[in-house]
Amino acid sequence: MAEPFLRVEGLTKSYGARAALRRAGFVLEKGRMLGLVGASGSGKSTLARCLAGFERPDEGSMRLDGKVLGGQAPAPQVQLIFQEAAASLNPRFRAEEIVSEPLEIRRRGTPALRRKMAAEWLEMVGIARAASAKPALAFSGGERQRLAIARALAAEPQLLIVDESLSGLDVMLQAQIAALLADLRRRLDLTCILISHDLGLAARLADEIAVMDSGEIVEHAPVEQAMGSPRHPRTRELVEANRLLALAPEGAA
Amino acid sequence: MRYVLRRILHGSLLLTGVSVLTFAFTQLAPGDYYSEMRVDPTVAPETVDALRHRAGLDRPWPVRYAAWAGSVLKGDFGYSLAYGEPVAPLVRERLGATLLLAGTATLAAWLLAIPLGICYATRRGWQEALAGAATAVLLIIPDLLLALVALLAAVETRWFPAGGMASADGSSMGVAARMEDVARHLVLPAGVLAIGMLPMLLRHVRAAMRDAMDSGFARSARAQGIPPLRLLVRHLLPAAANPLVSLFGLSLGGLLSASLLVEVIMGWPGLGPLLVDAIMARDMAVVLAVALLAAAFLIVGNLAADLLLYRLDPRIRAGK
Amino acid sequence: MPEALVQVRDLRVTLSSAILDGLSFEIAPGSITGLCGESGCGKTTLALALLRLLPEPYRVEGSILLGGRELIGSSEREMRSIRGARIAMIFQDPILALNPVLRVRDQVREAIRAHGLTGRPEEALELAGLEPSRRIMRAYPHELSGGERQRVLIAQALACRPALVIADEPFTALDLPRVVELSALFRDLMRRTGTSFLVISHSPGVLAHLADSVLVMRSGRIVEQGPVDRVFGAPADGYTARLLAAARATERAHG
Repeated sequence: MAEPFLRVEGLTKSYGARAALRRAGFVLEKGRMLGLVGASGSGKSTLARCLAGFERPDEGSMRLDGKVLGGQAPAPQVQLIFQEAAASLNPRFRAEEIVSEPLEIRRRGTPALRRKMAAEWLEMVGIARAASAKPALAFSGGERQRLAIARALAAEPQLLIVDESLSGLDVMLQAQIAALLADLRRRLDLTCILISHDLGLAARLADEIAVMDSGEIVEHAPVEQAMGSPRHPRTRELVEANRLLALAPEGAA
Repeated sequence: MRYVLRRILHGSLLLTGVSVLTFAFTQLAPGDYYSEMRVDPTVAPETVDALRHRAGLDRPWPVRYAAWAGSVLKGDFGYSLAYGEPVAPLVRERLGATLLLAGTATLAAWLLAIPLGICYATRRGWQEALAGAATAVLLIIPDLLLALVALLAAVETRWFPAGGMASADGSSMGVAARMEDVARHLVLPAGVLAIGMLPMLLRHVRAAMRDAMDSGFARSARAQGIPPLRLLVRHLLPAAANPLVSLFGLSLGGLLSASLLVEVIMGWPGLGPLLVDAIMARDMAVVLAVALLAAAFLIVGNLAADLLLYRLDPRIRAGK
Repeated sequence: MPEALVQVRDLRVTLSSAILDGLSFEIAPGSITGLCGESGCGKTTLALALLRLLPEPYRVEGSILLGGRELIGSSEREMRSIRGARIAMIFQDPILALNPVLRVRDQVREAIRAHGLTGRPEEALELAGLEPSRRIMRAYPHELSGGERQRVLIAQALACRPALVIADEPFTALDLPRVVELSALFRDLMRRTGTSFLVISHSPGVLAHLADSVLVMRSGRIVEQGPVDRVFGAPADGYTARLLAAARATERAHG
């Protein structure tokens, strides 16, 4: 059987006495989106940070497209978008500077070419060319989310991790950014991991669901199966809570 | 406890560093205690050399430093060439005077700063602007000017003595009268020093109070219907205390240095004039002793501030 | 029909421009009302206006009747007797809303003593679903878990058995099972003590599960209000419909 695009095995990490990851592992094929859900403190963000190279796991391995991940400083082939993505932007930097930074760091092309590419990325996330010279603080919260996404995409990552970036947003904004992510994923054939404490959102966007509990992945299944016939008690608890909190379908009284 | 021991160790290293540096700086200054004498035509060069040799000033400076450090560790701070007495008792006597002045001034400044700072923090509009302007003006006025104005006022009005710590006929008074005499002499210098310290303290108290007042928990408390006075005393002050406690420790640490200028100008017989005279005369033993003392105060003051903070702020107790 | 607990008529809040523009609604006793809308539409401002907690430059006009008594124009002293005792508020973000240098028992006790009452803080904590163990009573806020902190805030709000509790985005940071738990707690409290709740949340799904009636706000105005099933099942206003469509677009309940 061919080696999966992303393979994570036995990932373990502790912070002092607290075990954040306990032999966590999963595989993900190219072009698929994984929804990683679980309670706060279950290890989702730690896993993301290990994948992106911000943390070194104590044990375990991560391989992306056959190459080993981890060890060196933030790996460019894995891009991470944080919660409060808007706050991760330098407010004084202009939009085009923010987006062309990854290109600059990798010394892609000439300054003129980089500006052009940055403008294209901005357009792809729905920010007009005319706005590209404005500083980040001139944009609204939702637009800044888009800027953060454009910046991540400009690095042309093989794996995009979205860590609770939609969690703080209100419902309209969440829908817009979710639609943008779905669209980008389709167009660019991105491999993504969406981390969220909201199972419903993850289920809506992703192909597969992995449930984390106390540093382990306790269930990993295609969305239909995870939602329709959950096996692990944690999954069942999440599915049930999600069902209770979902809106009744339209027209129902 | 380990923390305290570690800090004491650091402190000792720091003191050693201060002593080396001070020693080195004094060596940089040309000449020594006997240089003036050398210029005097009535004194023979051989006499000067003999005196220098007797004081051990002709040895190379690392040797002199080692000798000094050695005797300090035994508790002997050396001999003042200018006063002709051992350094330690000399410094001790002056230390008392400085502590009296600086201590009184610091206490007064803090006692004023807290209520005034709270008032400043709770005002808005023109009152706030006025308070801000007054603080700024106080901040700008140099201590030197304040001291001179105070002296001038003393001479003109004769309400307070102009300088010194005690009247000339002090020894003939009874204890109570002597204390009252010292107290009257204390008013002006302490007042000048306190006014000098006040603006910074006011600013800090106001900032700490404002932080507390603007915080989420203050809003919660108001939403619970807690009346303003109770809110201030039971909710805001405890939370605002932290940065102020640190500052207080630092105040303690700076006690010795703060009063130097005022002492010299207003003739208060503390460490200030002693240090200045010793520097001018190149009376090394005294300079070193005072510098070390000031550094020690600073270190202890910082340590006290940190320990107090540790005791008072539960978040720090948990964190570290 | 029982007399409304809170009657708001034409509430206007202005700063340099209108922040709330003529709001009118009622809160029934023993009910849970949801307040829904995008960020910036004025939900928190409305909550603060009800408690008259908006500071000086804000101008508040209109009428807020609490059990028939007019709140606008009441003196600050009168409002203080109402805040916490008749209307209480649970602010967003428990770590910011609790005093970091006061222990839990002291914080809850303050809420009681401020009104000259003599309740026990333990009772309030129990009502909030938090076991008043020695550890909890003596704890400082940073020593508690997020969930425990939130329960302490709830206990503070309930301490004087108010008629109305306003909760500002209590669900935002919570995991879904905790949201369900907290909703159940609110409903339970309403049943046991007759307290009404005004729950602010930008998530229609949660309000559909929890509230009896809902107010939908947009840009300082109420665009629609009514029983939650009716408003969310068959919205009359286009904005409400868009809000619901957005919510539905980011959820999935089934396999």
